Amino acid sequence: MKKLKIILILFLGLNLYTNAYSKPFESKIIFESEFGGIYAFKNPWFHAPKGSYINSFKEINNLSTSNCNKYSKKSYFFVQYLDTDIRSMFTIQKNGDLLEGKNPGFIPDDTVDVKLMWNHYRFYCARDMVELFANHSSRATIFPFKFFNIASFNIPYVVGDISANFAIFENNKFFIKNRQEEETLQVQLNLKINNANSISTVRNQEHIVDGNIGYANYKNIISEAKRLCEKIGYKDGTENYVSCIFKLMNISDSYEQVKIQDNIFSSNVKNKANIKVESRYLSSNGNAITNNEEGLFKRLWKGVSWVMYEHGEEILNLILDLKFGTNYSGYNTSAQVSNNRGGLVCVQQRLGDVIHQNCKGGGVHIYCMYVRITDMTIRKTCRDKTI
Amino acid sequence: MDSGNIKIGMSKKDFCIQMSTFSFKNSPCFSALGFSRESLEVLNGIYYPETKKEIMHDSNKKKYFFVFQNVNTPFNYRTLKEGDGTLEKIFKNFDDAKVFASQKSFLVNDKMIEKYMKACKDMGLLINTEEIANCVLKKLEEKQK
Repeated sequence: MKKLKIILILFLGLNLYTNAYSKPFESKIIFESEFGGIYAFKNPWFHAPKGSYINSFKEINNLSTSNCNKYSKKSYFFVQYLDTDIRSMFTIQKNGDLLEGKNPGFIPDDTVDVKLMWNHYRFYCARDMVELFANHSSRATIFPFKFFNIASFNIPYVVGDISANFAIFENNKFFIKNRQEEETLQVQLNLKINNANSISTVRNQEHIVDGNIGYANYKNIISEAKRLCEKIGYKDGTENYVSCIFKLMNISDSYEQVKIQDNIFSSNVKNKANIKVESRYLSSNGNAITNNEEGLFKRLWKGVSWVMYEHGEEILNLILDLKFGTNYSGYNTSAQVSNNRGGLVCVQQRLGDVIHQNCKGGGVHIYCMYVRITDMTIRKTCRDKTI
Repeated sequence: MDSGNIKIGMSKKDFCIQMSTFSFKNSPCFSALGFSRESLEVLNGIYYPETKKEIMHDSNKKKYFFVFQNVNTPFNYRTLKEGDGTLEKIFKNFDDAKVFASQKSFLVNDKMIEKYMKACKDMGLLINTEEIANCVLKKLEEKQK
């Protein structure tokens, strides 16, 4: 009897406190494709022997690795760093070790909301970082909703759409990687090309979908930037060549942004007061800037965009005052009125049918003048006055 | 649509007012209303922050795809707040609408490059070298400052 008791204690001890007898839980392939897979294991109703969660996850990880190998790809999954007192089933440590019920550490991309008692894990197959990030941005179309979805009440203890870190399993070990460190200029460039026409969903804090975000199609402008960078003298494939492409795209973007802000402002004025706004831009030496070779005045465009963004409503009121002789703006006086918004200090002064506006902030000084040309037209002239 | 109340250039707010006469499923501004988990996941619109354009369409017949321009705030399908923007174009094909809304324009041209190439060449730099390439790029960047 004594012997039997010892054996029983030994058996229970091993079962509860070591990994020696911790069998993985029942696991299943839920969905697989060349882009990734969803795998699940069934949680126990009562007690889970120590090591069971880790072994179950390892088994699932093996399933994903096999699937990705079929397409000559590597298996990845996204992770989130959990630094709270809430106990997780297991975490992946920075050194790649899996530890049960131990925080802080990284938790894998999973959900418990698909089926009662089942944990579903989402893995990606990719040849390289570009494909991984591209697949991640297309996750809504790659993985069927019914096989992987997250209810709002589970946040923030899920990875969900977060993609700051990911894990890869190589040589029998997990490696945690930081997305920012892996996203080189070349990767970013390829992503811009690959992401053309792809759409991703955006969720609010409750994890509910707020909208769909589409990626701009950079194919044309990248190919045009490439052509110009080669024309300048950079050789295809070099780091300077890639950097040149980004620089040309940035130069192009800065002008485009102010055009968009201008259009928004003009259409607001048109809708509210049926007034047409003519915009003119002058460089620091007073020359008119147009949309051609002189269109590359990033500081002016950024400054003007900033003024329009932060003070658009005030300017609209000023224009209404100019047209109707009202005092919506509170500037119906020759006294100067100052406003500080978004780090940009603007001082306005109305003198008859002309409003003078000086905005300073972030090392930028933009001067704008609004003149009533006719009852239906206002001319806005902005000039870079930064010293 | 057929009554002619939808006009290019109209604000999104006016657009939704006109569209409110349709049934929920046929209106791009209301068709996302639903309470099932699945309906909360599937929304009809796409917003392109980089081009400031937004596509809206109904969830029923999907006959028309409305592209709005100058959109800083897209339509919020949960609160039904319109955001901003004006109607720019109407498509009958979703793919055409997506191509149109996602297209970015490139504003650096050959003329600019050639101007600075000449300036750098006049400084004694040889063409097809990294030196002249760095010089041209630097001048382009200086110009925008």
